[in-house]
Amino acid sequence: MSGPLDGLTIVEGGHGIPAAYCTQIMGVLGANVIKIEPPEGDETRRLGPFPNDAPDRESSALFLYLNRNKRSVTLDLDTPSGQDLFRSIVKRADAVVENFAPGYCDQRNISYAALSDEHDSLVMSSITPFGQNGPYRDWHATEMTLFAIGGLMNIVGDINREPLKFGGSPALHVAGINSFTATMLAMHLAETAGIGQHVDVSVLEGLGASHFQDLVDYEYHRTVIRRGDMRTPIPTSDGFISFQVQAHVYNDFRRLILGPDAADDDRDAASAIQAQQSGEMDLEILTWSLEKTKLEAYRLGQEAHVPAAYLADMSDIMASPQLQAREFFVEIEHPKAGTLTYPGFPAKLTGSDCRFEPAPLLGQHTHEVISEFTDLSAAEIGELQAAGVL
Amino acid sequence: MANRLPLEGIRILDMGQFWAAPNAGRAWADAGAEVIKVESCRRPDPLRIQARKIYPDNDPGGEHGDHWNRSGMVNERNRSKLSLALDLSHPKGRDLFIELAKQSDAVSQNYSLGVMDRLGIGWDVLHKANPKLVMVSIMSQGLTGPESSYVSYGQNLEQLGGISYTSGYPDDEKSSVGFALPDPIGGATAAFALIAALRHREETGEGLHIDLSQREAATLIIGDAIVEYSLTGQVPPRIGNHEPGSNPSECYPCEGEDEWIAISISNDAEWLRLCEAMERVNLGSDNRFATIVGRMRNRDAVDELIGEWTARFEKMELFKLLQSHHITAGAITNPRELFQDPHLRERGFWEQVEDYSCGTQEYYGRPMHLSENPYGTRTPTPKLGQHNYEILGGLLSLSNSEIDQLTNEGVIGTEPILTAEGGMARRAS
Amino acid sequence: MTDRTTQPDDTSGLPLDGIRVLDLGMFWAGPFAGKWLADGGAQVIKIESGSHPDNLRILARGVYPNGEPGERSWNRSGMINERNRNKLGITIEMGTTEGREIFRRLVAISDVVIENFSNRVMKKWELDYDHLSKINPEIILASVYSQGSTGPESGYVSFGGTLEQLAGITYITGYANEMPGVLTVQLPDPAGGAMATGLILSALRQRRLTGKGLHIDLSQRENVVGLLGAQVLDFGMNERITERIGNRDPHMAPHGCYRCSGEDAWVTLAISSDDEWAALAHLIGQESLIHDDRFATVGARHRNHDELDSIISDWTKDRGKIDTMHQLQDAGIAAGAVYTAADLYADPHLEARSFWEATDEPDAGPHRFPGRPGQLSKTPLGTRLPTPTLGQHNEYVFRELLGMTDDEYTALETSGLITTEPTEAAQKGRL
Repeated sequence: MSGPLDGLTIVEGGHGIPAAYCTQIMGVLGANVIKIEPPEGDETRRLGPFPNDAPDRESSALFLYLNRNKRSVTLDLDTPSGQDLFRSIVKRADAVVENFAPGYCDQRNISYAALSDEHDSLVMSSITPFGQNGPYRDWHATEMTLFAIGGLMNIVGDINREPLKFGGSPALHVAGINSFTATMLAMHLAETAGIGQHVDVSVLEGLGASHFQDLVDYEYHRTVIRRGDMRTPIPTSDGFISFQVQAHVYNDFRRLILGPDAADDDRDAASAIQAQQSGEMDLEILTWSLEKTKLEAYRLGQEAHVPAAYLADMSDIMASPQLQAREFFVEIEHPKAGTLTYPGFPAKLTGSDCRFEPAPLLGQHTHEVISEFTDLSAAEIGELQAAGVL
Repeated sequence: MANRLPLEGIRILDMGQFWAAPNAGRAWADAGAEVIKVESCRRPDPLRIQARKIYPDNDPGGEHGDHWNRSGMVNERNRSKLSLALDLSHPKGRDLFIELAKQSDAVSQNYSLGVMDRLGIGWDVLHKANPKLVMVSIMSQGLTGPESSYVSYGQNLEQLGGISYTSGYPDDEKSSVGFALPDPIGGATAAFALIAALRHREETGEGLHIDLSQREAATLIIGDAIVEYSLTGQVPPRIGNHEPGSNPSECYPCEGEDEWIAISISNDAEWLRLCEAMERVNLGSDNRFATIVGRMRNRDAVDELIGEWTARFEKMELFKLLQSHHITAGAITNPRELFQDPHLRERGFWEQVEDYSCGTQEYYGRPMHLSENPYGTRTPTPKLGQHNYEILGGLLSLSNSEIDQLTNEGVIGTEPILTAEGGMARRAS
Repeated sequence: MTDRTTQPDDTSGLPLDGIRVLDLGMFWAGPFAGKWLADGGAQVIKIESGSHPDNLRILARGVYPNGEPGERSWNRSGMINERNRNKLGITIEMGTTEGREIFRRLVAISDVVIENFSNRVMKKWELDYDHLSKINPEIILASVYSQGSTGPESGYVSFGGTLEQLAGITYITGYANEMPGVLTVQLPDPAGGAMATGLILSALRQRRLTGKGLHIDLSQRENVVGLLGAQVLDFGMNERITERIGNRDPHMAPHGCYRCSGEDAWVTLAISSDDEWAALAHLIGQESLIHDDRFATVGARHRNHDELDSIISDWTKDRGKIDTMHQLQDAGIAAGAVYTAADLYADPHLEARSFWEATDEPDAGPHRFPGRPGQLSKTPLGTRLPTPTLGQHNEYVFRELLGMTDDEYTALETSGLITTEPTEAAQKGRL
């Protein structure tokens, strides 16, 4: 078999990151993903970066990455004809993953209720910033505003300055992973018991469920955790590193910095770590680190069982010996954007392979998919094309 | 220069006959060029003679009996020109023509292949006489190729250009659009081509010869079908009034005999608007007809529903009603209705012309207006040879007696020489 | 088949009813995957031991109800109790041969094993996939590794915070032209846990198709690099290294975080079109700026962003963050107040969506914890069971599932292979 999701047909609708990233994962795992785009294309086609910063709807880096392995079908869902085609395609698919605004599908008669009418085992995952109901249902949102309301921005940055969003759009990508998981959960029941259902994924709630400590801190003793003074990484000869010293490795850490003969600290671990974090060993750490490269310091720390990390920029990541040894990066040739290096897939599964085909051109597979998924004649397809529905 | 017309100062010898070339000539003339229609008494523009009985008040003779100056088809499409009736088969006529060519910017002609050469005024001769001259040859099928010598009229070219094939009822084997569409298309193409060539001459000082094939020009208008074949290998079928992408797209009967309206619905929203216009909102929510495919598969029912409704209306009323709902619709109009059309009236499309031999007539004008100066008929269509003296005296500085002499020799004249059968004289060869 | 009536949990009708998962996960990423599966109706057995309870039972960072560790502090750690709901809890001393033998018996009757140890541990215990598949050819082993099972750094240990640095998020997060800070959000953990869950569900499908189990070798570091695909491609396309730009955005302007009245109170807003810009200018009473050359187009707003920031801050600084968020949203502008934990718990939208779920822990009492990112229409997911106390379901699992006799079970207890209390050393943090 090529992938665990072989034979699964997923219809993706909407725009932007979460639904596209969800189905991107499914496509790598072997699913047959059909991306429904409006005639003018997914909005990420207009967002860069582009090769040489020259905008081209076929070579947006974001689009190319999010949509590999997919087939593109353009449909005008504002028309009953487009909606009818959407319903026809879904009839022969296993799942729909969409991130249209709430209500969009209801207005177009392509809601879960409409689509599942003759398709009991259909799974439909609707991904929205705030979910399908509730007072904020129709609010607008971006990566940053969700990161803010989700309570994570509050703990990034310096307490004396404005809180920070994460660089890039990682929260929206994580929403895609969450959607993948929620969809697969529903797919399990659909495939084993024939029961389909509607999956309501909220990006905000994904973030709300991703707090390490501050929510329980508040719930257990009403402590509100905020940003602290910003700790910056430790300089080395060519970059920066940091350690996340845990109690059980504290003495290992002491010996790493102070030398193999350093005596164990007889304080209890928690207060020793607190003292270290407040700068107790800073001078010794600097003396140690400035003579090493970041990769050396990282390796030495790890060999001493101390969770160490170096501050990696994109060139470091592309050059990482570990990522290269895992053959994480893959080259994909795209007819318009050329051959580029992409992130591969973060997991290897025994007995199956990942698939890496280029992202589709706008509407590249419209004819092919409509022929495959509907009973329309060539003449009827021609009419739909002439009318601009496809 | 507010009143200066775009082509003022350009002189064109227009040897065009019938429709295609004369139509181009009128475009240049209306735009300000000095266009000299060159005919001869032995061989005037054939439409002066074969007038298909289209004379003012159905009377060929009129006051002066000069029926060749009263042919509607000639008078309609040769406005704003001058006329020189010069026998080109006569050596003196040929020489005079070459002298005129030396003082002109362009020659336009739509004779059959080889005629100009046989007359001794082919491209080689004219180009040598005037290297800056531009010549446009509006040929049936071009100057080269195995069929270049075949003769044709517009209707033949429709068949050859593929227009006929794509027109007509789906189940009909034969069809024609019914008028010589390739003629005006060839003429319009020539009008553009000459302007482009004149610009080239302006830049380089070189004249050039335009080899224009009406068949090819006509083929352009079925470009979609050609592309469809070249990309898919499929020959598009004849689809009657159907317009690809519009469902429905059909002519529907209106009140009265043989009265029709064409309606074209190009998307689902327009269908809903049509249902609203029909005051049949329930029809709009009928799923059978809500989508393009649905309307295709239920086409007979759709046509019947619409036709049953349209038949209750007078076509112009219905046309206005549908347009008020933003639906693409057009009443099928006859010439009388066109003449009366208030929209065309208001745009000044119809031009009143005081014809030399026909009194006041109304002809169609130009489909465009220029913002800065009048653009339209400047003078009526000239009578045969009307400007013989003016042209030969003015341009070639011949004296009146020299011109009289040419008249006496039959090199120039003002009346056609007709054969006993009423046809045109042919020079015995 | 076990008798449903004796089960501690009713999962009938839920998607994963009938699937049994052995969850060896510690800290966050592994347990998070286990929780997803438990929410979905799988019987998830959290396996710890007296010598190695889940580290978060011990390293609780003081997060106890009312800040009091209490008598059985290991059952009162908030970070344990939030993310191990719906699971059963047992203890097995995995470091002993006997303990591992019991684990093998469980593997024989289970579908999935989850672990997020360093890649040496399962090998050392001879419980890597090769060994497990001999016990049960249909077993799925999900290894939520830091950096995968192979490669020079595969044995390295990590936390969410270190992965943020190694995967590039830290580098691109920060105030423009300044050093980045070490992050503490630890987003890689929930992202890795969710990915692991999706992969386990995919693996169950693969097993249905092939009849064979499989090993999932997941690298959390790679999973985080995968969140930065556009930045990876940009490096190849334009040899460009993405840098820190604070809260700004390449496509939207203004786009920032603005101070409101009150202590550390902020609101974010993002303008993605000229229409939204006009709406914002109206709202803040600066209509004259709509067509001002400095701000009329997105390009101009980018160039004059500093000026815009001070204009917007002047408006926000005397307003409450929540009211401001509502006002902006009412005007059709994407905006979000910077919520603290307290704000999240008080939010009416999350309340209306029944996001918070009640639990009643045996040793920690009743509390409300977050739900999950996705909800299913026909088989609603929720909190059925509180997080188990250490070893709470030993008896059910060993006696009911493994069919041990009274004597066998008592022997396990007396030998210390199973327990309900961490060892003394473990309680002191030596894990």
